[in-house]
Amino acid sequence: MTQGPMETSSDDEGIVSGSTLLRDLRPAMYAAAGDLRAWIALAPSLLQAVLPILHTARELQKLAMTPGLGTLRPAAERVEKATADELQSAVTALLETLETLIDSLSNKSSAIKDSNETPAGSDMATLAAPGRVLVVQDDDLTVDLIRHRLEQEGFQVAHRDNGTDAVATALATDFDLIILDVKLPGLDGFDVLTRLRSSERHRHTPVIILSSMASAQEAVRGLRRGADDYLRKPFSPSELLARIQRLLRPS
Amino acid sequence: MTADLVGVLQSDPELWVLGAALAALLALIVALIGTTLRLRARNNRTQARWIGLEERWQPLVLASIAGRISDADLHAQVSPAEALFFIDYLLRFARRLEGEERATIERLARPLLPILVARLQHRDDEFRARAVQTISALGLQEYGHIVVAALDDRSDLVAMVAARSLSQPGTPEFASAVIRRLARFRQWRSSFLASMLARVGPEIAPSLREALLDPNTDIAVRVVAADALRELNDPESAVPAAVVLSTTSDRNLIVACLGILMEVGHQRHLPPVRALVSSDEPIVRARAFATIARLDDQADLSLLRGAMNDPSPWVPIRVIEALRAAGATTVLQRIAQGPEISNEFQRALRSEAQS
Repeated sequence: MTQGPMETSSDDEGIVSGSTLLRDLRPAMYAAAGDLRAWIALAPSLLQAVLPILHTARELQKLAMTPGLGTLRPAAERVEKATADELQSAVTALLETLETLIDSLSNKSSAIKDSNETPAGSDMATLAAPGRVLVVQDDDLTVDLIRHRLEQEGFQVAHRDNGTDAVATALATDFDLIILDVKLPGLDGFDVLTRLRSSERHRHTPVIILSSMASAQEAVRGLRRGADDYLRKPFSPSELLARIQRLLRPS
Repeated sequence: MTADLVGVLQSDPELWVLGAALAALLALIVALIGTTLRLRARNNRTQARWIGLEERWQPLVLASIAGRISDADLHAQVSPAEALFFIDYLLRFARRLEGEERATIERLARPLLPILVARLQHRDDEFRARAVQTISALGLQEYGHIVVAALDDRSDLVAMVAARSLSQPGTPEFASAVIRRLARFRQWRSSFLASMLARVGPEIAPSLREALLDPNTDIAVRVVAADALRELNDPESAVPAAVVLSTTSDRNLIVACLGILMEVGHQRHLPPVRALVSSDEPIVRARAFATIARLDDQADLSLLRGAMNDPSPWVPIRVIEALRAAGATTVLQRIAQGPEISNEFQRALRSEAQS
């Protein structure tokens, strides 16, 4: 079976836009938990995220049987027709289905393109896989340097560029390690660290502060707030990797 | 209508002048708008070119750092016309990296740096300054002599960029060259220059002590050297500072040396300090009293009580600060009980002593 470049590109855009929306909504979904009104408020956004993926799924169906597709449509229909009582379970079912679907679509897209790049739309899958690192830095080049070095070693890297988003993402998702800057838009790194340490999910997650604030006082402040290590910029990605591996080594 | 307008203008020559001025203004406005649009378009083109180059180079540089492509393969992707852009791009990486990755970036830049060396002959000061900064960041070990030569550039801006570039942590080999040229930087604040030198680290202290002790060195440079030694908390600078106090009459140099003794001095360094408590300069008296109060826990109480009556209010303030910093609360309390203290000052002193 072959796939033209135009079709591949279109598929990717659908997956990317839908999964990006879903990724952004994910903290809100976890926050909604048992709050029915919150789920109802989220429903339009969820549908907006689902539609491009549905479109992509239909396109891909012509090319191959897509696991998960059969269960996706009924779930979407349930959302459209649901009564208020059914909405929460419908959305939950939809989400579960979507995650499976995104995995399979991403794998398929990757196979079709025969590319080494991270499959489009795989961010949520990435977040659910082992060896996950959250990088919280607002300098793009620093992030690229870290991401490149860690992905070489098989780590899966998610990135947030401000403290507020970092907290929302981290509180909703499991990470094996978090790399945190201090000077960040929104919440600063110390505040992010305090919130992470007060959450059940990240009470014991290793955190490395990577900051240009070079004074010993700042390092002590970070370590006292619960950081496991403190590395100053400019930095060596290899040294950062070594410190990460030390922290993740089973004790 | 045109004929009417011409008729009106012919009837009054002043209207001709007014019309011509208006036409000239309109032409100027049109020219300015045209220039603005052209510059904007050029900026957009440059930006687009930059973005395109970055997108092309980033994966290559990252692959090079990871050792996945050879330097030659990477350089093959950079045309001669793009070389300056590429060096600037490498500079961004260099500022963020250290260790083996930084060494890789410097290695990638090395074959291209001669382009920048040639730029040191550019007639524009800012071009030369930029070239000095980039050469220092990417090839200081190899091109250190060129950066040292830039200390004598005709432009103060270029010379200062060179001085700052040579005053990096762990590069003490360039310290003496910078100190020798410090006199040309008189227009910069002494504290700024001292911080710049102190940034090199304790390895620079011998050169600074030498400059401080040398009576043939410019006084302003000796002051900077003393301030830098104080910032470094260099314990070996106490003796030179005491020696200089005995031999100089320059107020700024005396104050700077007292600053050193205040931080790293000892009671044995105090004799030249005691002689300064009767100086005509309030700032010298304040520093001298404060240094005595800081270093001598058995300080002559009557001497310090005398400081409370100094005509300058800064003298007692600095003495009290020094006593408090030294933890000499008993001395503070005894001074506060003295008859020469006003009631208001006495209350403030007691409060200081008890806090």
